[in-house]
Amino acid sequence: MNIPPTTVFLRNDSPDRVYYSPTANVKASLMVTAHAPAFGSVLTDASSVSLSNTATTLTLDLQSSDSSGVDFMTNPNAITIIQRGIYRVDAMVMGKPNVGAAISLGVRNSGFSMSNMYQEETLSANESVTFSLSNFVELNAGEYLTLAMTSVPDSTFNLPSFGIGRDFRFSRLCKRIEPAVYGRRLYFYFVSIIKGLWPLLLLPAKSSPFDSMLITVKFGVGK
Amino acid sequence: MDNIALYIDLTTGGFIEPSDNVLFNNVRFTNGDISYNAGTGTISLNRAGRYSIQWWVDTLTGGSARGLQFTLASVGASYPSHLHQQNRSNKRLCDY
Repeated sequence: MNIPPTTVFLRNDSPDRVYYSPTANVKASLMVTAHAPAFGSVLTDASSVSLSNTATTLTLDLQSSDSSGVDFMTNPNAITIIQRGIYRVDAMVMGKPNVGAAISLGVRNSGFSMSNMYQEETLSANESVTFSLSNFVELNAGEYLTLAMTSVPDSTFNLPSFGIGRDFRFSRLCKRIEPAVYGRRLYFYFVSIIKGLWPLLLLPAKSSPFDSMLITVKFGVGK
Repeated sequence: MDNIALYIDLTTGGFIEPSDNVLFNNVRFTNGDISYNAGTGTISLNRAGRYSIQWWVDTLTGGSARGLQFTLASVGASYPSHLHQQNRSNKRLCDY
């Protein structure tokens, strides 16, 4: 039986006594950080969306098959944050307007525009565009993310009529926060989040070699 | 699991005998369900999950030609239970 706590220690396995550096102020250092990723996405399989110069919140009524630490129920068509932290937020929309128009896409936090999470493109009729937004942002519990679009003049923004697959996934958080990786997709716009590790931000930067490893701790009955 | 973190370092000099644990004397940051015993050098992880552990040791040239070896060992972790790095020249060791 493996019962808590798990203990970790750094041991001198050299055959002889080892002297610490007499000159360095800090002779040794060790940092432990728990990984607590949260992730999820919302999507749509709609064929089009009607846009005007007033921001239209997109209907994202499909949820990713896997998610952790996020809430899809409290606010419809949104991702609601359960726990405060640093999150990576990605959004993507593919499509084309039926008339020439200036089209914009923005990620909104609880109804408010977010800095650096906005794109606008002036397009000809039936000109395809892919909006893609990504950023790391600090989010608080209860805040919720939505996608909003505008069009000047009014237009119908047609989404791709057929997808090439139905899978998408994120990379896991591992040694460092890595870019999210998406596979093929059937759905055409989404917001996704991966929760970061805010305690790291509280720790002083270290310029010396400072690499990492992962361990997994499981408690329970084992053979 | 969220927001569990520990940052410890060693600022006192001297030496460490074979098979002894590094006794970090300074807890620079701690948060959540994790603890450190400065008397034994052991860190207690009280919650199941995945942890990232980073460490390094700055040493003087060893008197042995057999090199240096530090091991980050654990009791109860499913992977890895025994990691180490060797350095025959001396100097800073850090785990990967």
